[in-house]
Amino acid sequence: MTGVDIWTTQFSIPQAQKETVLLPRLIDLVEHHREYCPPYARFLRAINWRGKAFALEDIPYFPVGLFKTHELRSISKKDVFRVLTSSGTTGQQVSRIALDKGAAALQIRALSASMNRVLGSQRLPMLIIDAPGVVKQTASFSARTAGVLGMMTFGRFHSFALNDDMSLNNAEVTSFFERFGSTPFLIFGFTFMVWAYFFEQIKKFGIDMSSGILIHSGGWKKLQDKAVDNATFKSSLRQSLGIERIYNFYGMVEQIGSVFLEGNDGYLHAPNFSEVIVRDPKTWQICAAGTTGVIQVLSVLPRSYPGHSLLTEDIGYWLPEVADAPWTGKRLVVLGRAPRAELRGCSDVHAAER
Amino acid sequence: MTKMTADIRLIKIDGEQPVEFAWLEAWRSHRPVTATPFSKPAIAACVALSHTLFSMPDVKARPDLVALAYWLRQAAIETMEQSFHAELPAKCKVVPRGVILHFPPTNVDTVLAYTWALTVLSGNRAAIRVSDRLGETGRQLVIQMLNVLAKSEESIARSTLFLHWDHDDRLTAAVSALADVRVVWGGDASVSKLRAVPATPRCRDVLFPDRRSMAALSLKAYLSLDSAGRDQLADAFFVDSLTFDQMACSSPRLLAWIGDSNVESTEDDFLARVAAAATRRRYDVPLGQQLAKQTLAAGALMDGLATQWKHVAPSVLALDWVDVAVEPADWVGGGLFLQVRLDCLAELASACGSRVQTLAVHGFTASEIEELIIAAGERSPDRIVPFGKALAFDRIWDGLNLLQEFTRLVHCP
Repeated sequence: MTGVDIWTTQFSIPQAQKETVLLPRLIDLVEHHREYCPPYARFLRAINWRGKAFALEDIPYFPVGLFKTHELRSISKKDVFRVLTSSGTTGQQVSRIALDKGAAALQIRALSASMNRVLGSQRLPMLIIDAPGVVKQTASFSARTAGVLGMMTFGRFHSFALNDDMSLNNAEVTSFFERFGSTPFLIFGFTFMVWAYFFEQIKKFGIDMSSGILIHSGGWKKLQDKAVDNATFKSSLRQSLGIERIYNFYGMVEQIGSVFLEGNDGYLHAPNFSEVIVRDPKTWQICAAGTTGVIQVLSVLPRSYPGHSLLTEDIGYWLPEVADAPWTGKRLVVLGRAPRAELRGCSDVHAAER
Repeated sequence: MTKMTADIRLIKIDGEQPVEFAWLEAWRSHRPVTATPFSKPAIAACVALSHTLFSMPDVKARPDLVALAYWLRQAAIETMEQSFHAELPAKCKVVPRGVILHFPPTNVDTVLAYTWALTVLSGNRAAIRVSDRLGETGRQLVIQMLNVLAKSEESIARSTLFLHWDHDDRLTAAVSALADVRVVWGGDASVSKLRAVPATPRCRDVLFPDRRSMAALSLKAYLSLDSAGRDQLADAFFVDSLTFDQMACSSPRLLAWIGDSNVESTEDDFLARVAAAATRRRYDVPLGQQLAKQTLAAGALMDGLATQWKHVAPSVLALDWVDVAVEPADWVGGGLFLQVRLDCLAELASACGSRVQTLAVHGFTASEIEELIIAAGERSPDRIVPFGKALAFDRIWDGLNLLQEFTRLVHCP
């Protein structure tokens, strides 16, 4: 085992070194989950896993969708401290991710280590592009709620920019910028909401937000209709609001630690404890740099459930590491969610029409 | 009217104008005097549809439409007519039932044309509910049918209505009041729901709920084929399973290898040839379905339902299935094959639940097939067909002779 500390400054371990650091840890994790998660053990047996991996691509993986249909955990029921659930549109099943106390603490540590790279260690005044109601519904703990609550730990003096009907709360926003507009502050929101409910409403007021850092996530699908990509998003916000520091991130509830964060180069990077592989859906072989395929994410953190190597439902491509760049590792571009299968089976003939 | 059906002349029923129902009732009670089974105008309309389909520019690339066009040929209809009369009991005349109301499936678009043809050939009138989710094939087909009907003799032209109404039990009940027979295709839940909607007391329901299908291949017979013969068989299996993305009721999911020699390499040889057929026919599994298939297969491995998987090609993922009597909880198609190995065909009886419709076979004697039917008894498959014929629609379907379902016997002195 190499002596590299994965908890050092995130996004800092060079690609080649990172692969040698992660590989033995991932093999250990495969064995760990084989021992404690019987369905996973059956899976390994069926795919003829022999305990050997010569590269990260040899680490077994399975589709993330299985967390929706199977209870996959490597801890006993009594040790389950928290169950995370994924977002899902109405009627869809959601993923259920079991964490014990250790895993829950690790999740927070991992997120904060990654965010630290762009936010520093100070907790900044924080404007949340959502309505205060998002953190008040306790009955259903949606991914949106979880995301907002998770990010709120990195800020203080939380203000919510929107009303419940998604209109701009002018009084709240004005008072936030009067109070904190000239000091460093944090803006967080979901990409589409930042664009449609915040930026498009507030751009006409000419507020200077150049001291702000914007962190956003949630995908580009809804913005494709408005022909807004990452470059347009950033340049528009820079021109109209003066925000220079804008960071997109990509992550999923099914994998602790895989918060892929946008570096200064405009690409997503994996933190030190995570890695990304892109696979060709026709052969499931790995894709060369620049070739679009299905994204597989790896992380050495999940111990309470077998989420260390997952095939996502997202498509994208990777580009090689740039030598001596401040953000190390492969550069990732996420293009969006694979279209859901539209199955016209006998079994859904009328039911699905409703 | 929806976008999908915008260019189809159909009657949209919204229940707000009572005149619609008065009009439908008038249509219902206008009984053509020529309404006898296999009337000349009905045969002519079917043959005209056959010609129209054959003359479509891209028809060669559409095996489902080619099969339909063949089935509607003059010679094929004459053969059907002969069988129909031969199957009649002695001292019986046959008359139509009247109005057949169809709820066609949305996964196999051509079904609506087959059941329409059987309806008019048996001398009935057809009212066909056209779904919002009608596929492109179905849309083209309805357009061609309307063209043919417009040029047909008046009794035939008036015999067919394409209807659409939103799912609303009151509307369904009102339209059902027209029907002497309701023909319902769908999932179990939707068939049950529709069945609960009242019709007239004399109305018969012909129901086609969820089914599944399988294939059995004799190892010995396969090994005795030369390379060209194996390719041909693999191609037939491709057509059976993947023409409708392996989502039709008749598409095989389970592939049983019968016999005991040299199994694994033979399986691999066959699956590679199926994959080659898929490539040759430019079959493509959409990404979403590919992922869903991968998820279903990995889940089966985790559940211990299968012991191994083989990625042969994008369209061929084979699982070594443990228990022939167990079905996967879900189905997504796209080329997922559950392989089992059995000593004799009769062992397949335990795979025959009440839902098995089609068994495609290659390399078995009539007595082997009979043994299976005896072993399976009331759970026997409805159809046992050679490879390549799993999707071939026939008047005998799901255990019913549809021409008999659509007619009534008049017992004569």
